[in-house]
Amino acid sequence: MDGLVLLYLSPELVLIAAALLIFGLDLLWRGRKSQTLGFVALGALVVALILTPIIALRSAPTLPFGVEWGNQIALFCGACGQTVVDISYWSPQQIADALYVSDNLTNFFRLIGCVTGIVILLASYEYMATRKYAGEFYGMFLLAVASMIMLAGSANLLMIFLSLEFLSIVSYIMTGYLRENKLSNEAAIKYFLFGAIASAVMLYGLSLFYGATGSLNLVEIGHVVTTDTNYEVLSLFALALVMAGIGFKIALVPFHQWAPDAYEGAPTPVTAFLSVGPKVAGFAVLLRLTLEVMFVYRVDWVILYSLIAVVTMTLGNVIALVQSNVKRLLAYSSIAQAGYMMIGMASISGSSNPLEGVNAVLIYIAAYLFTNLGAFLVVIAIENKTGAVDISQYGGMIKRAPLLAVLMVFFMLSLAGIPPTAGFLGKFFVFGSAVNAGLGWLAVLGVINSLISVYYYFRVIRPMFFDPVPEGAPVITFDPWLRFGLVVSAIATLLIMLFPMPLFNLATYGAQIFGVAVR
Amino acid sequence: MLSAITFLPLLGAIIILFLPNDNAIKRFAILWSIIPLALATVAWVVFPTWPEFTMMNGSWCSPEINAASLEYYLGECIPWIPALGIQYHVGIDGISMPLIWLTTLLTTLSLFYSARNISTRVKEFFALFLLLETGMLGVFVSLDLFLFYIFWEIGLVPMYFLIGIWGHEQDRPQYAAIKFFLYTLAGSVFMLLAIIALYLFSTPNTFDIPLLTATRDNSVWAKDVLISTAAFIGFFLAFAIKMPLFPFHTWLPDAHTAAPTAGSVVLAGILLKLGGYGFIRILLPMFPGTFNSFAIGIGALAVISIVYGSLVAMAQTDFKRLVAYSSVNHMGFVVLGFAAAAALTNEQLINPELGNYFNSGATAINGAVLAMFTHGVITGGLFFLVGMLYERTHTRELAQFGGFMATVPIYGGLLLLTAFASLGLPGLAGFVGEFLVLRGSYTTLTLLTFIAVIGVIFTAAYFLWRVVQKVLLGKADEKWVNLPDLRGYEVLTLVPLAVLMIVIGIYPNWILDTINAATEVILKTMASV
Repeated sequence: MDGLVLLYLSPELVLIAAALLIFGLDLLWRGRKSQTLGFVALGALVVALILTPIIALRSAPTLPFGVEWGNQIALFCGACGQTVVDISYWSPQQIADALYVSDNLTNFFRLIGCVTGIVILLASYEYMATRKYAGEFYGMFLLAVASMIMLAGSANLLMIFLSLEFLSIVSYIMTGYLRENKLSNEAAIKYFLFGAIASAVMLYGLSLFYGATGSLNLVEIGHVVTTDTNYEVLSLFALALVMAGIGFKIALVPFHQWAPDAYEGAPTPVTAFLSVGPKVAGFAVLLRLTLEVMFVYRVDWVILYSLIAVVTMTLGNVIALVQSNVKRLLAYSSIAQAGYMMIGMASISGSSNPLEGVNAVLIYIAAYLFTNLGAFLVVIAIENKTGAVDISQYGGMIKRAPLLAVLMVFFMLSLAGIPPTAGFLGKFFVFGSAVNAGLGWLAVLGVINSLISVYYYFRVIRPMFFDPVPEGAPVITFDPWLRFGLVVSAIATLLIMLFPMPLFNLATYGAQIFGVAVR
Repeated sequence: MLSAITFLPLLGAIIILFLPNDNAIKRFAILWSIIPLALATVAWVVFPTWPEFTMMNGSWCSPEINAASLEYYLGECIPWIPALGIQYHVGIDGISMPLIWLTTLLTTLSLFYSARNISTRVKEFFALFLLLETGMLGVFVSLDLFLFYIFWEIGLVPMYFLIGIWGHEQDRPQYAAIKFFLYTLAGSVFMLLAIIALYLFSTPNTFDIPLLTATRDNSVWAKDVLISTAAFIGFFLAFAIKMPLFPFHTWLPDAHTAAPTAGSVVLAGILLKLGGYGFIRILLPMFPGTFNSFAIGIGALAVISIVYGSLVAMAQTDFKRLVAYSSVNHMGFVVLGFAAAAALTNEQLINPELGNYFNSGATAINGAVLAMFTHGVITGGLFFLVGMLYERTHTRELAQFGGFMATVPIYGGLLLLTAFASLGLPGLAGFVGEFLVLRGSYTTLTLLTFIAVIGVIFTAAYFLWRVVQKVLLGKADEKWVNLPDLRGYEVLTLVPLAVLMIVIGIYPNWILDTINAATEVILKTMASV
């Protein structure tokens, strides 16, 4: 078994190896042939994507959909080396030593990470073709995806912190990638300053967990905290501090201030990544922390999460109403979307109902991923040709680029949660889980918020269909890679709604690892 | 069969995207829309043999669902999201049948009329219109709340674009479009929460309308007053806004006025009926107890809609706005009928010795459903007529019109017929439904019925005074002397509707028999034993 155990880390290894290869080749080729490097990156992501179901199915070599994924998980730790164990036969010692786990939740986020990476890469070829340092960009991008997956697989406070810093630093660099652009520089420095403070606060919270329990492992901390109620106040305080770090990655109110500026200034493909990658990785950590450590204090964190959910979605939606820059508008929209996901977090109740909070969060993430990336791809396509990022410049898009206009309607409907789109399914699950957990009031606030959001999502659509074509505005064409990415996002957005069972099963397998949650 | 009727328009919309030129699109759309119409006609003609087409034939669903849906015909049921117990479950009864037929008819007529009147962005118009048809038909055939909700929302988007793109510039179409969208969505999101609540508090957990109805008396959602009241209000808001019932009607005049003619026809003819259909398909059979306790309040809102709608219509100077407000007035009767049926207590429904309450409830519901159908026919016709007049005069100001009976006699005759049908002249279609409603509601909501009758007088007043007198009689203005009369295609658009108005007015039984079969089933399910 020991030789095979590296297989359980292979997606991350492939990505990191490819990133190093790209850096090396870029140095060798002195910045030429960056397109080739882009394809290397794409290849690495595709390989990682294919490896994931292979890992998941190792103990149950059957079709990925409809049958259960394997129950084996791999634990990686310092003292014990590497072990592959069946999920039902964990020995406490093994768990206590684990630094990193490769379980079905990790697999879920591997799929999410690789798909995100592929779609954004497809969209960035044309964007990067005219810009310098494209090779480095592709390498950085692979590292970002790898660190995002590693964050989702961390089973240990130290690993969580390291992965989070890894992801953050790569994100800062990518945000400031446009070296000659003032906005991009400002965005990067702002992002960095906020991020450094958030990390410090989070580290303080992590140290409290360690100080109280003497362990870095999530499961073991959970064990201590659960058995001894004296730790209630301390652990909640620690959780609140950790929330600052994670909330910064997810862009939850009140840790969101960096987001609009960073989104506006960063290269648009990076913006697309920022709006998905760090966010979903943050939720992975939050899921593990909530279910493995804090579950016993449900009464307390439900209040915390509900409050964050309410302020996050309300503030995001209300401020988005007055934005005129599409990137800023989507930034506030993605803040609001994180608020809806927090409703799902608050609704984790450990019930066996399919409308359980864990399922809801995971399904919402997948739905949001395709929808939001699709919307950003439209923005990128328009920006590449015209440089336009303002809603008022989108006039007559139905004449200039019918495909873009129609797909934008579809993605906006999905973000607003109107059927038949993936976004609707996500909202259905999230609001359903809230009602299921006895948080009906939260669901009511959620639907009122999605009502508000319809107004600004339709503000984007309005000029595209109702306004005349501005004089001299070019017809928009875009390269086949971008078109492919767009079509994939759109089809996925539709299919998730029409045939939700595969996604539902994947989410259920992911949720199953928390013995405390869905059984 | 039902799936074919529902999804053929969607297929047509997709085909249209690939058609090369405007003429081909127009011809294709009209011909294509005849197929669902023909299928719906066939379905209705074989109505007496329906019991042979019960659920069992096309079902892959659980035996409980099959057993619960015996009263629905032409059913199809396929598990869709098994984890949540969601089925693709469709089926119809005597109440959805006329509405489906009306939908297909009005769509065909609208497309036929629009082929001559829509010249900009033809491809989008016809594709969106067919998409809209699928949304509307889907609501009428759905027997699963999840499916119902999806179809309910699908109709919004095409309507938004129809109003926004082809609306009249002076009526602020974009404002009207987003107002329509947000108002309707505001209602339906609460319906979504109500649907989720029903699912979570039912045993077995299901979204299936027949199964929820059948297991109503054993389920937590119906026993718990808080849940059933909250869910009732969620559904009620969605339906009341769609109807629209006073005080939720404010989106309607803007949307109707701004929409292109065909859009107004379908908006008034079908989309408003979705709300009424929700009352009869969901509120009455699933919440009889809760509806009973709200019956007087809802009945009062209905009567306010009747009186207020007619008074405001009377005050309009714009012909199209007048017709729009007349919808508020007429839909009030529909809600009054449903409220009257809901006002029957359980005891009154099951014990014949107390009096003829069951029959009066059936009369009220039959009247309300028939009123929905005839309102679709009549108001559809009125909006066509308003549109045709606008095409000629480029104004809708009533003050500018006059004497058209003499200058354009064919137009005048048809408008006269439609106006009389709308105000409820005995012998024409509008009378039957509203008379039955008043007849049925007299037993339970006596006082409200009296006030509603006063509303009838106002209705007659605004049609006679504002429409007949201002438009048709009087002296024609100089500038209208050479006004061209209706052309062949316009007459052809109106004739089917005119024929329906007369036929239903003289012999309504053919349609009432269909409706009544379903009404009695619903009244029986309302009673809990």
